[in-house]
Amino acid sequence: MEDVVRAAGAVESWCAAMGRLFDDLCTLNRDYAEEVLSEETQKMPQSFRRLGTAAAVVASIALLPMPLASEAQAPTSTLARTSSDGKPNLNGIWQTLNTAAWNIQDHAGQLGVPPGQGVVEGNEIPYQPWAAAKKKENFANRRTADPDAKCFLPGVPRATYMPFPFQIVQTPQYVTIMYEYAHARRIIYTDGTRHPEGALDFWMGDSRGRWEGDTLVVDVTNLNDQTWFDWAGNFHSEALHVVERYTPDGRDRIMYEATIEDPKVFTRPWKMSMPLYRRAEKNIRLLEYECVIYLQDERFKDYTSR
Amino acid sequence: MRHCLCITCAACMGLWLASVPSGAQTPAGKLTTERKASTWTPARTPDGQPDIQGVWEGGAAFRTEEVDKVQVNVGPSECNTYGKSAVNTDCAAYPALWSDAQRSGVIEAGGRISPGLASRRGLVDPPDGKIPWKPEGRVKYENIVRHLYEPPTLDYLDPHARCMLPGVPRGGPGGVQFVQTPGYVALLLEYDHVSRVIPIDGRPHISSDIRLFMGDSVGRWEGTTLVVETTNFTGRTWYDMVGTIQSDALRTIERFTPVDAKTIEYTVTVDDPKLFTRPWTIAGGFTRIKSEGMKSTELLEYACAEGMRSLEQSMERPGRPLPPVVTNVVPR
Repeated sequence: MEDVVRAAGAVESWCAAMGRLFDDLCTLNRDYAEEVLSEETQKMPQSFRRLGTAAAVVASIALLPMPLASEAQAPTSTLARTSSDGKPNLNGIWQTLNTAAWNIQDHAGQLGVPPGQGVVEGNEIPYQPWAAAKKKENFANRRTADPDAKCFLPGVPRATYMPFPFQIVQTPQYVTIMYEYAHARRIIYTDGTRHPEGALDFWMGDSRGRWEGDTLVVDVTNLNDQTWFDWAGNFHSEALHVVERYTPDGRDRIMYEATIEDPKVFTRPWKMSMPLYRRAEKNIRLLEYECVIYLQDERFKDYTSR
Repeated sequence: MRHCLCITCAACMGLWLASVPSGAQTPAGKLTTERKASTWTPARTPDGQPDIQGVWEGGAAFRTEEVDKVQVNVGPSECNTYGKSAVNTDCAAYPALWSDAQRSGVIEAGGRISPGLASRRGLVDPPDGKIPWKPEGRVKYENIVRHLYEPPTLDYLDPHARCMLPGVPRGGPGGVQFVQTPGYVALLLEYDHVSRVIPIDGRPHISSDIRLFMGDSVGRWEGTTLVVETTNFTGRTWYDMVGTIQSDALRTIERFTPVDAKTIEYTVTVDDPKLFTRPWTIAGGFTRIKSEGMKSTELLEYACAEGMRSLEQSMERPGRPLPPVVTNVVPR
């Protein structure tokens, strides 16, 4: 049954290479192949079994596209890894492709607002009663009440899904994230250090990360209460605590998840999740979106003190 | 008072790359770095770059003699020249822009000169130590200087005061963290969370149709010197807080050379043919931030725009209200 084992290994490699999109297909084919093999080997004399087995294996495998020769030998990881410490390589420029920036929950289209299926697990944000009323008030006043109306820093995780790219520069000690929007920046310390002591609050919080297998888990605290989650008025207090999980899924996609915890505003923690896509254009670089300057230029365009 | 931020917070006609400038000037004319013969070689990153990672302070500074001679039309005529002390005179309502200590070339900030900044060497080329203005450049510059006290429009306001990205080579107060990964050297300024992510993969500059406050930087290692060329500037940034302007024709070439484990020598050559008759070079350096006595040398968040008051304070005039606030135009 050596051939079967090897062939099953090839199927396994192929399935790993194609990713979990093909999970169901792989399972079906694998089960079918094993069933066929088992029936065939019962019918044949011993001396012909190995040949028949190999032929049956080849026949069933022929139905599937083959993995590359180098990958067919054993299951291999398809993640890029850093040469310094072998962790998944998150270096590059990434961007989300959803409408969470407008509204993190399900929303229909309207003039200027693209429709979107929400990024919130269960589509429900578990506001406390007072906070649900506050959210409604925020929504009604969003054109001026949103801190983004002044182009202020977007906070976490809003910076992740603003419709602008961001760049990750990663070393063993630091995963730094530079966002094109308002040139926001976070330094995620993966050097084993802790959050700072004392009552420090930052617009972009303080981030300390560690690897759990191939997932970067980031603990974000020290956030202020000055940011929203989207342009629809979803908000939080200074007690906000975010745990992010960055799980690469192949070389060009990271599955991102943020757990939101804020006992002053919500009745329980809740999660949002979305893919981050690599911006694959050649020589792509972050540009500048200096929203604060644009507002000033517009405000003072006809103003002179003389 | 509306200009106290601009005027009294330390810098003379200095520029900061990443920290406050400091004084002592070596004789003009020194182009090359002084380096005692040494067998020191830098450690290497996993991808073979000289390793200059860490949190540093420093930059380069220069002094503009000419500012002393520019007339400022504000208040009584005896107050109309930079450098006059305003103490105990009728000029008290118009505080002197430069204290005597500042004009002597010893620039203090917060009352103390950091020993790590002693390597500032100033304007080293041209040899006479003077900024080589073109006549038309000088006219523009003096016009700005004359209106520093009461900027009539935003163009006369120190870009720092409105939280504009500072450009190159000006940075801002605070440290700089150098981070290296294959293909990139990143300079993370604490000031206004400015990040210069410099590709060293040999790519070309972006097209001249895109202008950036921080310009477009490409870098390469020449031996143990990181050479960074930056183009595509907007022309809206300054070298310093006192009106030494830049144009959109500017190109800069910076050289960072680690000379020992805690020192990087630094020069920047600026070439701006709309304003100057020739390129000129300033020199300085970086030293590692000392960690003794500090809980941490981690950069903190400097949220400039979020706390900014200086723009309105600088622009408001008695009897002339500011224009109404403009909010972000996001479809919603």
